[in-house]
Amino acid sequence: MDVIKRNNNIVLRNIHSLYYLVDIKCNYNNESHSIPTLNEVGKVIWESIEKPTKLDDVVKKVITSFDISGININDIKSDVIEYISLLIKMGYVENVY
Amino acid sequence: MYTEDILNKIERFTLEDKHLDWVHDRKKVSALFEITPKCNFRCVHCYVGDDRKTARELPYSDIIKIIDILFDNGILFLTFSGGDPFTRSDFRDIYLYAKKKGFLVEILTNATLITEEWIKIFEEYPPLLVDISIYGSSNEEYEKVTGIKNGFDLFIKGISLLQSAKIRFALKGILMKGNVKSLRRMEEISKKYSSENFRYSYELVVDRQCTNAPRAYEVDPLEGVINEIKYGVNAVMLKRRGEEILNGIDEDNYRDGMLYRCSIGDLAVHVNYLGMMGPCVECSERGCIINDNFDDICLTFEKFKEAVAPSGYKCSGCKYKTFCTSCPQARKREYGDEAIVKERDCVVAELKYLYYVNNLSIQELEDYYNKNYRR
Repeated sequence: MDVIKRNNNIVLRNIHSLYYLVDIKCNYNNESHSIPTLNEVGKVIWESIEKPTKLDDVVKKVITSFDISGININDIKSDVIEYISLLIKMGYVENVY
Repeated sequence: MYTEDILNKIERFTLEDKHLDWVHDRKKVSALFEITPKCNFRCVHCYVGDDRKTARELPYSDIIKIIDILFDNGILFLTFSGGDPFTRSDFRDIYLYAKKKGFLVEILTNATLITEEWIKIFEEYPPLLVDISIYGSSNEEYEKVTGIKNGFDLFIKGISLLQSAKIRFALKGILMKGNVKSLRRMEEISKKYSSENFRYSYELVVDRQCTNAPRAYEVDPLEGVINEIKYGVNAVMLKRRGEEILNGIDEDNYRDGMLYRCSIGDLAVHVNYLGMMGPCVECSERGCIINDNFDDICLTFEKFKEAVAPSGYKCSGCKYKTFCTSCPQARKREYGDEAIVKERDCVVAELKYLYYVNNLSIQELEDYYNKNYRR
């Protein structure tokens, strides 16, 4: 997982200050279908991967967007990787190479 | 019912508890947008009335502007209605624009203009629901209601295409003189083709020109209530309400003394084919969604919620209110006064109360109606 990009079929919606990921090709017929929410960090990650982006650049974006004083950089990287892995598993993010 | 549907959708599709704030703060998350007054049917009961023939459609650019405004103001559930949306030659572009913006889109239609080309679009960009009106169970009945000779065949063709492609759709019957005998068959058609519950209504409203023309087709109140008891999903909810009253639970008391007991202005907006936005389909007091501020228009809805019932208002303290669907805005359009209560509404509510709370049999209900109301 060096370079990632978001799935173009997924749209970020701001619904009254909550961020939702809507799959425009999903029929939402299955009982398990729902619309996941993103927090502020998730939103920054999402917005940074519109085009194929290096994972390190995503981590840098998170670091520069929030006050991370006192937090180990490797821990942040680990959290970002874990989060992106989840989005990849859900089909919302693609592993480019 | 409409708000219950929105609440169900919020609960069904969103995971965060924070969405409960939307309900508490009465945030607008759902919009019903009439993108055209035009229709290929000429239904006798249609509330659009003569505007089907004479009113102009908003141009594509205005439709897109309105969709953008709804997007910017947090609308998640967007329903296209009309007229019939499929009569617009640019509906494909409108639909895809809304889908690609990330709305959860529903379509209200008669299904007769659904083609294989549309199925391909739906397969790639599925609607949340295609909500389809059914007007009878034969071409003869369809012609009586819609004025179209082969309307039923076209309807069956449309829903067959949807069924084959597994596109989610629901059927909603309109019960009136001309098709009242075929409600059971309409329900059978719904069960055969759709996996969704069959719903129907037998309350017709005055049209946009405030003429009473549609009301001439309204079924007798007793006939409406008895059918409601026998067919469709309404009976389940009505039975539950009856049981709640029998168990001493009467949650409907919370707005007693107010003029509006409905959820007007809570979670939804309605945009008509002139681009005028109101709190619901019935309300005639509106603001221009393109020229006026969205929030400012929504603020004007507050007066309905705050309106106290006038002295002597017939509905205040009425024990049948749990079963009442009387709408002040519909009454305002019909009588010019939202506080004037239509006797028919009272009779319908009373009959339901007698059946679900007093446990009268259908025969006893008929006898009671014939003795007290039959003219």
